[in-house]
Amino acid sequence: MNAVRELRRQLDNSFPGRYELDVGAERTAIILIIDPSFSGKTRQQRVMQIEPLLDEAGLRPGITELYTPAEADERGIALSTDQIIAPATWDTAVSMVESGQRPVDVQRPQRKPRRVIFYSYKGGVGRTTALVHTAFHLARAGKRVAVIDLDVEAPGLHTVLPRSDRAPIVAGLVDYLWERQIRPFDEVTDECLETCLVGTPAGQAKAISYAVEDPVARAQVQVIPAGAVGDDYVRRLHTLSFEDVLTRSDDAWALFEQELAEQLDPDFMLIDARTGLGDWGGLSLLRLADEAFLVLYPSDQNGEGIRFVRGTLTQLREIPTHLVLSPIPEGPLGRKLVDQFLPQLGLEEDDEQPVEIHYNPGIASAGVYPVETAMASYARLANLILESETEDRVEATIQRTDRWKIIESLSFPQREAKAIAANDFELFFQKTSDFDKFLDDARWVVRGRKGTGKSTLFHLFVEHQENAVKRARGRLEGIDVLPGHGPAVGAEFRPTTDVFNTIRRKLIEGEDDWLSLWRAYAIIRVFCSVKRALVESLLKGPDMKALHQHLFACFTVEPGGYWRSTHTTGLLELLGEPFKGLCRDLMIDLNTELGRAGRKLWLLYDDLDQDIKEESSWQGEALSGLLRLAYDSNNQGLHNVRFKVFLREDIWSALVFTNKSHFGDPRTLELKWNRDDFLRLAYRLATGASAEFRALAQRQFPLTDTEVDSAGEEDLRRALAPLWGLNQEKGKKAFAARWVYSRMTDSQDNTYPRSLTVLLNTAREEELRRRNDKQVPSDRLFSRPSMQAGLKSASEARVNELKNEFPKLRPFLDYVKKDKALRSQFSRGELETAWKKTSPSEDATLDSFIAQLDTAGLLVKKARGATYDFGIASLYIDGLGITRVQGENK
Amino acid sequence: MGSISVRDDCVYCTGVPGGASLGNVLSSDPRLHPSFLILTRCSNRGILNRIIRVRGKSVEDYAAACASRLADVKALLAAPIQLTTAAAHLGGVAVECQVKALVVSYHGLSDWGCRSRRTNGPKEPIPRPGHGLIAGVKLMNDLYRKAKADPFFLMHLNRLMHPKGATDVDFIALRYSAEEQSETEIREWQHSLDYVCGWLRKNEDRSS
Repeated sequence: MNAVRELRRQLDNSFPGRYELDVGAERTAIILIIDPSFSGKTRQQRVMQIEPLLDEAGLRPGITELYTPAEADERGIALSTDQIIAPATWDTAVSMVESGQRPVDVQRPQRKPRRVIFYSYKGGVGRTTALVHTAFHLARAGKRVAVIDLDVEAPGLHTVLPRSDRAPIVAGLVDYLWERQIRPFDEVTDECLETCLVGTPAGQAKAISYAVEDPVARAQVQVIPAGAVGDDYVRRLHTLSFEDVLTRSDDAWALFEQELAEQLDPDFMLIDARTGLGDWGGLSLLRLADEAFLVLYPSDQNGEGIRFVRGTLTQLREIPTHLVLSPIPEGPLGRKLVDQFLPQLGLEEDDEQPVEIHYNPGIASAGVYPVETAMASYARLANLILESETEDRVEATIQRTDRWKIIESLSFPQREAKAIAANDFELFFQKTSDFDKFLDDARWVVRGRKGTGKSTLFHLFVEHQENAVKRARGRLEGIDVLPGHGPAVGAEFRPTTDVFNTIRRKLIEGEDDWLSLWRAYAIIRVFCSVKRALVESLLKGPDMKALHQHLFACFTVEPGGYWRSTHTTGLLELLGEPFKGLCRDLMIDLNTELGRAGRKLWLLYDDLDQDIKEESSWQGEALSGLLRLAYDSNNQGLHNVRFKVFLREDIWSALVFTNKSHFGDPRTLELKWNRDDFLRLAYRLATGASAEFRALAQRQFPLTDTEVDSAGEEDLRRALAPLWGLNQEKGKKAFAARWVYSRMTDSQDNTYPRSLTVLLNTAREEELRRRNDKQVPSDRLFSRPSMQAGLKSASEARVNELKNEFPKLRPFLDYVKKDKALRSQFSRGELETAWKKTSPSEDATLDSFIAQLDTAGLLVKKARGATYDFGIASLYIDGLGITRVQGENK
Repeated sequence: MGSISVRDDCVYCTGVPGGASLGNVLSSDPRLHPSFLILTRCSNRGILNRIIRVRGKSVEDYAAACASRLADVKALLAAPIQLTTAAAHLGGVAVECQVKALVVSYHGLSDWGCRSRRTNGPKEPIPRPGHGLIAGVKLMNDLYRKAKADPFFLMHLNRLMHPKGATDVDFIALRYSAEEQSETEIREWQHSLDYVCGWLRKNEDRSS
């Protein structure tokens, strides 16, 4: 159908407001254009101008009327001026979809009450049960809820939620609508009407609503039944015009909603809709719905119907539509059933996954609703409704605020970790779930890809300990942290690349080892640090005299002093006797002393990948020495001095040393940003940078600083809705937050905070650049095109970082980008061709190259039997300028 | 002279002088739609100083006009030398009349520009569809839905609208054409005319 929409776009450009297009069966076009440009052209010329457009849209010409205004006037032919409202029937809906028409939604200042439709194609799938439990979830969340039975041909809501006095109902919505449609009455006094919405003690009219209270939480839900089934009900139902609903501001349904708002003022109206493809179900979904839940059991007959309903609905109306699978058997049987069924629904990559409701025997035997043991299963449905409501509220708020002022106030500066000031940490540092693991005393290696925040963590602990302590919640009590090596402020005093090269040569000459070197260097770092007192008293012992003198002589350094050659010599001298043994002894003494004081010392090492020559034959040897020191110290029971080494993932992977097998998961920490961490950071960046945005976000979804660290994905999605929207596009199901996360994640599941900053910066600039565009979104600050521009920039930045991280891949990456050698998905053969062109060394194999791409997080391996063997991780697609294969979502 | 007031489709006439024909009075008033002139035959009974309400048929008898035009078509095509262009033009007019007759009946109209009397009819006045065949069909929602569901109908209707082919002039402009149609063309056209007329008769709404 997109093709017909595209046709409409073209016609809108060429003949604005001067055409009518409809499509009949077998894609037959019925088109009327009245335009002065036809003047002087023969019919044949006119047809030749229009029919190719129809053909392009996959339509065949049925009736093509092409007139000048004078010709049309002569024939008495005019364009229709009717406004297209949402259809009430499925066949009208299908026609509208086929002809690319979108109805004009009846504008309501606020979608309150929000009409939420629960629909099932077949009965008996738990639709009403889902509605009832969702209603009570919302009521328990403090919302005002009315549940309405529009399953008029088989009403039953009043039996699930009967009146509290168990009295039979006397009238319902059908009676209410019927008499307002059929009978003359006084609209002010309601004289001549038998029914009313809410009863009064003295009133004579029959009230159609009643309240039901949940015995556990005492939350109330207003019930509006369809009516008492009987002779009158049937007569009234069949004379009631379902089409005459929401067509005028004074029709029966409008009067019902007006009275509902005046008397009950619900936030939500949950409507139990008729099954199948009949009139009332169609009306509920097609015209009334602000949001819809399509409830189905995973079976062929349900699948076919729901696929049609969902397809029509989503093409016609921009409303949130959710799938609910119910009731699913527990365990592997249910899993298998769902897995086998899901392909039938034809869901796309970014579509929201169906909510699964498991079979609950408590419901089957329930006499009273809601069933407490089943409530948890329906929480997700209530959350989805609340999310959509948030989206609407955000839209209303953004419309009331100065959108551009807020966007201008946002800023996302790129910060080098070492340049982050203490108060910036307060604003921008996002504690991830890895933070607590880092506090684990026995984690010796902190590894992660470039840009995953290793250096930020290093700086937090060595330079802004007060911030680290605050976030550690007592777990840093009694722990001193010092830089063992790394780019801390004032740590110019350290050996760098060429010095390490000298050290390495001397080690070989003196047949010394790296482990001893690192131990000696650690002692120097403590000696030169603000914590010198830790070793000073120990060095005063008689047996330590020589070491003390040596350290004092060689390493008395003024603050801000540089590492000089004398320091290198002094360090290397510590590898000779007696210093080597004394260093070992001092380490033991330090450990004992710390133990006695109930304290610990952590030495943190960062930037070793830069300061020890990368890709040198001895880099591994040097780093292995440090790791062996950590391991040996632990083995000797020196548990009070801990070494924590920050290493880039690829360097760690390439390291080979004895006992590496002991550096398993409990000893190492791989820094990864999961979705929640990533969203928390986005929220913190946006709120930290702009007081205006903070105020906007807090108005919608208040989150305190501490709550941000523990907020779940659903809360974060809602909190971020003002920034980039709740959904990728208004009315679409895919969550914007998930979209951003998935586009910012490589094939190794790595996400990069640095990329997020690039993305947000570019999105902001792009949005400001589009300031004069007509199509500015009303429900978010950053529109989808701006976000796409941001994703592209972030991707380009990542490609550059990847080239630095994996220099061997550079020729391949350049070739792919320059020659457009690969699309986003490709076969092994295509990859092989690209690999061969980028001149691999003779001994390399395609498999080793694939492994390298895999390690780099660049390559996605497709399942066996898929059309393609491989794909490029979405994070890198835009940055490499790669074309997506047809059908792949952007 | 008496005075005349017009409200909706009713004429109110007072003080028509004795001996004067009501028809004369009506026809001399520029506010009146020509369709009221037919009513002048209902005549003045010479009742003075009394409001006369005249109400009744106000639109043309499209069904009769349709039958008449179809008879014309038949005659033209039965002539020793077939007058195919005239037949195609009048055939289009015949269908136009048939559609208009259906619209009048469907909405219970007493005149163009009046509101529909159907329970669920549109709230806007029903305009005269002119020579637009599909425009006429579109005025009847139920019939238009049926039409869209039948590609044959659309194809045949299109042929009646453009008897000389989809890229040639419509049946109205055909009045200025001197060329006759080929035997095949006119045979196909006749088939379309039969189909469309038969289809419209079969799907006529009888509920109103």
